[in-house]
This record gives sequence, C-alpha cells and structure tokens, in this order.
Amino acid sequence: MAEWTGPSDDGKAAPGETFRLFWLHWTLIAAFTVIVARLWFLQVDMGEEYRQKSEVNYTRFTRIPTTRGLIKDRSGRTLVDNTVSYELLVTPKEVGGAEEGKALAEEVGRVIGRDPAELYRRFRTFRRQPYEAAVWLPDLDRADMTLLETRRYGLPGLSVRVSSMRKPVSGSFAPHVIGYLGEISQARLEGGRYPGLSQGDLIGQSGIEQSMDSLLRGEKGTRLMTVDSKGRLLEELESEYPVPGRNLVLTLDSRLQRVAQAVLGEKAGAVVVMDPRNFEILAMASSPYFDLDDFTGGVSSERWKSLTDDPFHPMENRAVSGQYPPGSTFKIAVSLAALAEGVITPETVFHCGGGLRLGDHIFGCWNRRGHGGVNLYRSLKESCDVYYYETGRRLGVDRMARRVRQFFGLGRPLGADLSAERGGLVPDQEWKLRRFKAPWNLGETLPVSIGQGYLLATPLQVAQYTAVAANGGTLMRPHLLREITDLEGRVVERVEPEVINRIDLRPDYVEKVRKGLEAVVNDPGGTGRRAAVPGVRVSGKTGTAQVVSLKRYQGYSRGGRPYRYQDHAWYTAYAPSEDPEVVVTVLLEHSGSGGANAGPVAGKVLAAYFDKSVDTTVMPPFQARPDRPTGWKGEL
Amino acid sequence: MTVKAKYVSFDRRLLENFSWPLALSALGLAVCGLVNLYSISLSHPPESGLSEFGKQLLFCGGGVALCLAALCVDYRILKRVALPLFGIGVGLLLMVEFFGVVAGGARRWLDIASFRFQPSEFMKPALVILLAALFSAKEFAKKGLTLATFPLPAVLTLVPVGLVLKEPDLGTAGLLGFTALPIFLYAAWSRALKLAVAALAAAALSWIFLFGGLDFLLAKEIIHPYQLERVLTHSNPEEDYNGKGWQIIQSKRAIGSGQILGRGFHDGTQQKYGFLPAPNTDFAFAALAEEWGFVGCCAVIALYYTLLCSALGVVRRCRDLFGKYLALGLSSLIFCQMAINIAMVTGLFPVVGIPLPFVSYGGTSLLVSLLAAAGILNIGMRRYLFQDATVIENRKAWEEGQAIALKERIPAVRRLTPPAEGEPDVFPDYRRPHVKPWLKYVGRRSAVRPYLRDSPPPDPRQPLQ
Repeated sequence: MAEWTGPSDDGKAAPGETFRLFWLHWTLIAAFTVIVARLWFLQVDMGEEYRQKSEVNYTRFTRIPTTRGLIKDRSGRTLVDNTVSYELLVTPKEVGGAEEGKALAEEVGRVIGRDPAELYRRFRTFRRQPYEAAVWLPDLDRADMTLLETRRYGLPGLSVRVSSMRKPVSGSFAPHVIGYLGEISQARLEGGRYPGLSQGDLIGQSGIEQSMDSLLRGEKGTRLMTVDSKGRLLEELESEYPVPGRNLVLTLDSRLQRVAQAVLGEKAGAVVVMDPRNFEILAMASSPYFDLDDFTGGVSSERWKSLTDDPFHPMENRAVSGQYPPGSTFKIAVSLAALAEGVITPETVFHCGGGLRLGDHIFGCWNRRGHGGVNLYRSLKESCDVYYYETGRRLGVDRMARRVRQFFGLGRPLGADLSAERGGLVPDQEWKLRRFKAPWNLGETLPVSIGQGYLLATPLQVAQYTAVAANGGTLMRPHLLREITDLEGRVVERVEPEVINRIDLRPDYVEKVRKGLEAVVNDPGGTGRRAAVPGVRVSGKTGTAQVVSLKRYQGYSRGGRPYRYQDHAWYTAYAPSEDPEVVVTVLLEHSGSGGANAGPVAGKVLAAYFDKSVDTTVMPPFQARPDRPTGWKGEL
Repeated sequence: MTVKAKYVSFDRRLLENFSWPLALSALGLAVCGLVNLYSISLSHPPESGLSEFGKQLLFCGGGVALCLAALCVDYRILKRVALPLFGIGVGLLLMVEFFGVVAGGARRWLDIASFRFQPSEFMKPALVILLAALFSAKEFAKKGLTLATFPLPAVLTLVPVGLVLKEPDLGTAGLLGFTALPIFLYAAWSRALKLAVAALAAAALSWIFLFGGLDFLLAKEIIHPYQLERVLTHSNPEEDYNGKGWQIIQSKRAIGSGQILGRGFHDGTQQKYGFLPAPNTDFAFAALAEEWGFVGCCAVIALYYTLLCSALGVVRRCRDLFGKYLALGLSSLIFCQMAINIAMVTGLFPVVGIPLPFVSYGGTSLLVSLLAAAGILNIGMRRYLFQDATVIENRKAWEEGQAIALKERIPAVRRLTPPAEGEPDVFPDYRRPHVKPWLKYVGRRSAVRPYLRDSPPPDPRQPLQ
C-alpha cells in the first residue's frame, strides 16, 4: 500500500507532501549554492587570471623589425650592406579549405622545388587564424619570387613580402674582422642580456658584428593590436617605433686590407697594419680564411662542418687570437724595458761568443760563431741572442714582465674592438708557481728574453710594441672602430686615441733603439733587408720563433722538418723611420726564417701603403691548405 | 470531484491568486536576455534584415501575448489533449529518424515549409503533460507507484528519450530524463518498487562499468564515441585546447574575466571579438557573466530562484493532482535547462546544446519557456476551483463579509473539514507564499508577524461573535 496518494478532496495535506516539498526546495537551494560558488570561484577567486587570459586572447603583440646598421671602411665605402630577401606569406582564409591548401602546397612545392608535404604541414598550423598572413617560407630568393609572382593569378592567398638580409659587399673581404650573423642561442636568450630579442633573431657571432652587436642591432619596435578570434586585426592600441641600428665606420683601409690578404696568399699567418700615431688598425688579415657569403641566410651544415673540422682553423682570427712566441721581435720590448730599468745603457757592451753558459747548459746564439762585443745598436741590427740573454739575466723575469706589461700592454687584451682578442702570456715567477706549482729557474728567463719559452704574444701585440717604439714610447688602445654614425650618416661618436701608457725614458735612449731597428733594414749585415721599400726608410725587426725545442729536429734543415715543427716567421716594421706613420707586423706560421719569408711580405704591404696605386682584386682561395700549397698565382 | 468543464472563463479570484513574483521574474529574465542579446547583436550585426535582438524582441512580444491568451484558458484542457500531444511528439521524432535534416553530424531537425524545427523541443512539454495526466489518473492517485503501475510511465518516458538519443542528442535526452525525475519522485512509491528500482540500477551500473557493458554499447552504436569523448574531454578541457576543450576554455575565460562588476555593457572582449562560441544561444550566460560580472550573474540567478520558488509555492498550494504534477514538471523543465546550461558554461558539465531558458536567443526556446511559466501561473490562478474552504486572500474584506453575514443573519459558511496544516486561516504565513518563500521552512515560528502572533487564529467552526 502506498504511503501517500496525493491530496484528497477533503483538502487535507497528505503526510508525505511536506517532506517532498522540503527536499525539493533544499535541492533547489543546493543547486543554486553550487552555481553561485562556482561563479565566485571563476569570477572572484580566479577572475584576475581569467581576465589576463582573455586579454592575451584578443590582443596581439608584434615586433616591428628594424634595420641593422651598415659597416663601412675608413673612407666611407660600405663593407656590409642589407639586401632584400623575400618571404612567402599565405593567408589561409583566401586559400580556402584543407584540400585547396594541399593543392596549393603541391603547386608551390613543384614550382620552386620544395617538399609539398612539409609545406602543407606548415600550412595546417596557420589555419586557426585564417585571416592572418603567416610566413610560409622565410628565404625565397629572387628567382623563386619571380616564379611565384608570375603564377600568382592561379595561386590565391599567396603574397611575397620583402625583408632584409645581411649581405657583405665581398665575401672574401676581412671575414674575420667583419664576422657573420647567426640565430641567437637559447642560452643567450635566457641569459637576459638580449632584451627584446626572440627565438630566430639574428645576432653577430664573430668579428665586429659580434662585438658591436648592440650598436648595430638597433631596437625593434612593438605594436599592440586587438584581434578577433579569426586573427583579423581590428585596432591598434599602442606602438613603439623601431630604432635603426648605428652605422659603423671602421679604421680599415679597404685597399691595404686587400693587399694584406693577397700577400699572405696560401700561407697560414696574419698581417696587422696599424697607424702608430693613433693606433688605428688599417688592415688586419688572417689566413687561411673563409667566405662570408656562406653565412648570409644561414650557413649550411656541410659548410659549417668543413669549416670547423679544418685543421688550419680558417675561422680563427690569427691576428688577435693566435698566440705565438714572438721570437726576436721581442727584443724591441726587452731593450726598452731594460733601458727604462737602467740595467743597460745604449753603450753597454756584452761579449757574444756564440752562447751563454748557465750552469752546465749553454744557451746558444743563432750565430754559433759569435758576434763578439755587442752594444744595443748591433744587438738589434744583428739580432744577437747572447746580448739579450745577458740583459734578461740582469733584468730578472719579474721586472721584465712588469715592464712589458706596462709599456706594451702584453699579457692582456687591450680591447681592440674584437671579442676574439686574446692576451697572450707574459710569464713571471708568480705565474710559474701558480701554473706549475714550481719555482722559477734562471734558465727559463733567458729564452723569455729572446721571445721564446713561455712567452706568447698575438700579432696585434707585436704590432703594439713596434708602434710604441715607433712613436717614441706611447701605448694607446688599438682600435678598429673609427666613427659611429646614425642612419643619415651624422657622426654620433668619433673614437679618439686612448693613451694607456707613456714610457718615462730619455728620448735619446729611445732614439738609439730606433736607430738599431733602422739598421736592421738598411745597414749591411742587418737581418731584415728584404723588407726595404724603395724611396722610404723602413725600420723593422725580424723574428724566427722556434716551435719545438726537441733536440732531434735541431740539426735538420728547414725543409727536412714536418710542417708543424717548422719555425714561425715574424717581421715587424714601421716606416718612414724618421716620422713613422705605419706599422706592419707579419706572422707566417711554420714558414722558417723571419727575414727571408716574412720580410718580403711586410715589404710588399709597406710598398702598397706608400704607393696608392697598388691594389688587387685577386684573392687567395678560401680555406687554403698551407702544408700543401696549390700554387696560387695571385698578383700584386 | 466533478467540475463543469468550462475552460474559458473569468473570475475575480483568478487575479487574487495570480503569482506576481513568478510572472515578474519570468519577464525580468526575458528582459535580461534581451539586454544581453542587444550587446551581442551590436558586435555581430546581421548581413541583412532584422538583427537577432529584433527577432527576439518580436518573439518576446508575441510570446507574452500568447501567454496572456493562455492564462484565460483552464489548464485542465491539457489533460484531455495529453495523449494526442505525446503521440504527435513521438510521431515527429520518428519522422526525424526517417526524413530529418542532418546538421553537425546529427539528425535533429525537420524542415517544414522552409521552417527548421526541432521536434525534441516540442517533446519536452508534451512528456511533462502526459506524465502529469497519467499520475493524476484515478488508478495512480489512489495507489501511487507500485510494481504494477510503474512500467507504463517508465516506458512512456523512455520512448522519447530513446528516440532523441538515437538522433543522436545526448543533451536533450538527458534533459528529458532529468525533467521527468521529480515527477516520478513526487509520487508515492511502494516499498517493493523502491527495492526493485534500486536493484535494477545497481545491476545496470555494475554491468556498464564492471562487466564490459560500455564496450558493448559502443560496439552497437547505442552510445557514440564522440559522446563519450565529450564527457571525457570535460574532465580535462585544457588537454584538448583546439578541439572540444576550446569552447569551455573560452567560456571560462569569458566568465572569469567578468570579475565582480563585469567589463561593462558591450565591453566583453570574449564575446565582442568572437572568442566565445555561440554567445547568443548556448553560451549566452557566459556573455552575460563577462559583461555584468558576479553581481549581474547573481541577479539573474536570484530571478531564477524567485521564479522556481514561486512555482514550488504553486505546487504546494495546488489542490488538483494534475495541476500539481504539471506545475512540478514545468518548473522541473525550466530548472533542469537552467542548471545544465549554467553548469555547462561554467565547466561543471560537458558541453551539450541546451539553451538557457528565457535568456538564450531562439524563438522556440523562448516561447516554450514563457508558456511553461504561463502554465504554472495558470495552475496557481485556478486554485480556487478546488477549494472547499474559504480562502481569505484579503482578510479585511473577509472579516467585513463575516460581519455583514452576521448582521444580515446570513449563516456563516461552515467548514466541512477541520483546519489542516498549511491552511491560510490557521497559519497566515501561507497566505503570502509568494513574498518570502523561504519563510515556510526557515524559522517558521519566529517569522510569524507579531500582529498575527498576538491574535489567535479564528476557529472557523464557530461563527464569529
């Protein structure tokens, strides 16, 4: 029997009805409570978060690309330019549905020879925002662009946008100095030192492009737009215009640079040409070298592999990051340091008997027969080793190290506008203790005083002390940057010579050193006579740096040694001797004697400096193999 | 009880029993819907012709006129047409099965003379009317639901539910089931039936979840994989950003971004820029929540609460069993649609295509909602037809009448029955059931107004002194 049968005609409320209504009403209240609680959670608790998410929905933040600054040489000729490249854009709404998209991808793939499946895969990712033109292909070349443009009538929804691409005027011109661009790495992006950059942006990876990247890059603009759910742009909310990058005027002289690269030829080595009056670097060549054009629009992986696997490291800028024992060229530095310390005077005479005995070891002079009594002038002219052994012994390694660091900026990079610049190595007792946990031996001082042993210097540093000797004792910061100009060419900043040190030395002492260097080239019996230039008095110093001290190779003739054990050839010179205006430093790796091999190279560069008609357009081959030359017939 | 079937008539007592809170809250909801739709129409102007707001305004006007007409007709006429209506509804559903128009992967619509029509919409009130008629039939009224009487209404409910499920339209099928539930529960159940239903439910659930019934249902295409997927997606919408989850993510963003005071009229960016799917129909509440915030939502929900409580009051006071069940079914219809829709847009329930009654755009939906409200009003208004005791809506007038009767020596109306709980004469709170509906249940004793507490209720059996 049922408990309740509804209200009866007598109007009496049935026993169960109140109960049922009670529960109905409480169910109602419970349902409304749940709804209100949910709304409270969504709108009050999480309201701020959802508001932000909805703002992300309808606003679109875009960055407006800016133009990278140009790089020019000292006479204003453009070295690195921005050229147009083409981006293929596609607006999915205008294309139609998935099938039309597939057909379009196949057609485009067929016309310009790309993979249609890959194109279609990219196309599908654009379809959520069908009104927005998306970059389908970022790297169309002119031919592809023409092919697509002529078929544009049959290819709806496509458009081509012009964008800019970095293009050096010549791929072979000073690739180490100029450098190339590459995509910014994830680590750098996260490092926070590149605000405003995002994945896929290009930054300088070497050379000036890298070290001056923040100047060249400029600032991207920003634009905040409202969009609807289909991606149609509706309204601009706020924007900030892009700031173009600064143009850079380098101190490089294009003609000298070309000459420097040409005279290096297929040999591994470096040439630095510097103005001793203000330490402007006029040319900086390093060989073997690479083609900058390989890097425009991204370097291919095979090319990159061949460059990084090359045993001669064509990407290394030997002029600033190659560290070599400077050999006898270091005698310029030692003589000035010793004169300043008062250890010797120009008139001090040491006897060279072909060697110096220290304990039971004889440190030999290059001339086994000995030079006899040698003063400063002769020691430089004939490059007597015993004279400098004795000087170094009297000076001591610590005093020598302190003076060469102070006078010539050795042992540290001076900031020649390239981040690849390295400091070389000036050893002293403390360094030895730290590095080898062993005390310094006097026997180690003697090789250092003739530029061997632990001592290492870059070609730029050799050019530095040559320039200090040339200008009478002033060390300045060598630099590559001459002017910073804005987009219209107005000078924003002119780089002034920056004096680091002046040697407090009697001028006649310096003059004596300069006389000795002049004799190297001009006197009979001088070691560097092959660098002589007709019509100009040149001063210079040769250097032949031993790579290996193994006894077994000491008796060998030069040709008998393997390539990598042959001596480095140095030559550093300045001209004119009376009023120097150019310093040329040449290093040839594993090429034998400095006077015979590096000297003529330096001579050619000096000749080109004084004869403005000398020029060349023929460049040596990229990635040359110096151990087996191909017989490059470059003419000067 | 025999009442002469005079369906259209007017009586002063009709207005005395008119539930103003119910009528006004229904109209208020329709106005909220129109305001919301106006903002949406502004941002999505029609390509030609009348905007959605304009159409809805016309429907609203027409609907209110239709309701006024319907109020004049005695609702008991429905008892007679219940079976034919149900028959038509089932017939239309069968026609959908064979001649229906397929849209969006489901066969739900009928094209009749360029007018697209969804028979499942029609089925909802038809089912409610049929169940009310059935449960108020003499057999059911006397015995309640027993093992013998239960199968007929159960089968009659499952037929349309099954047909709608086959379209497939999981949402509307569920809605039909949920709507019928309170009608079944309001009836008296015999103990044997309770046990049988509990056992059956336990068996079905264990079969589905424990003994591979789900795979069977999927294999036989009784449940479609996408329906299952929708339920699964609901549990984690963020995992399916581009698919089904998209709608619910955008809806939640819209609601959440409204915060407390809302973004302001026509400033809802989710709605304006098209991120919110179907802002005029299914997700109308999300659009409203975005522009009017928590405060606006609470106002709308308060209107629904007023409406449903008034409807429950009508159920409570109705003396006709058919009217009781019908009012209950119609309120259940409004409540279920509202609850499912709001739960859906706030991410508590899977996305099903059920509009928000009164608020969502759509002529049929609005018309059905307004007529349902009118039906409840109608039932409430005709309460007097079943009273055997005088119901005093206006106590002063009643007292005056009593005084006149005494003076003129007219014998006072004698009650035939002793006063029962819920009688307005005994518990005067019930005389104003529409004003504070919660008073009936919360603190009933203390909430009695002082002037009523001071004077003891009159004993109707004794003539007034």
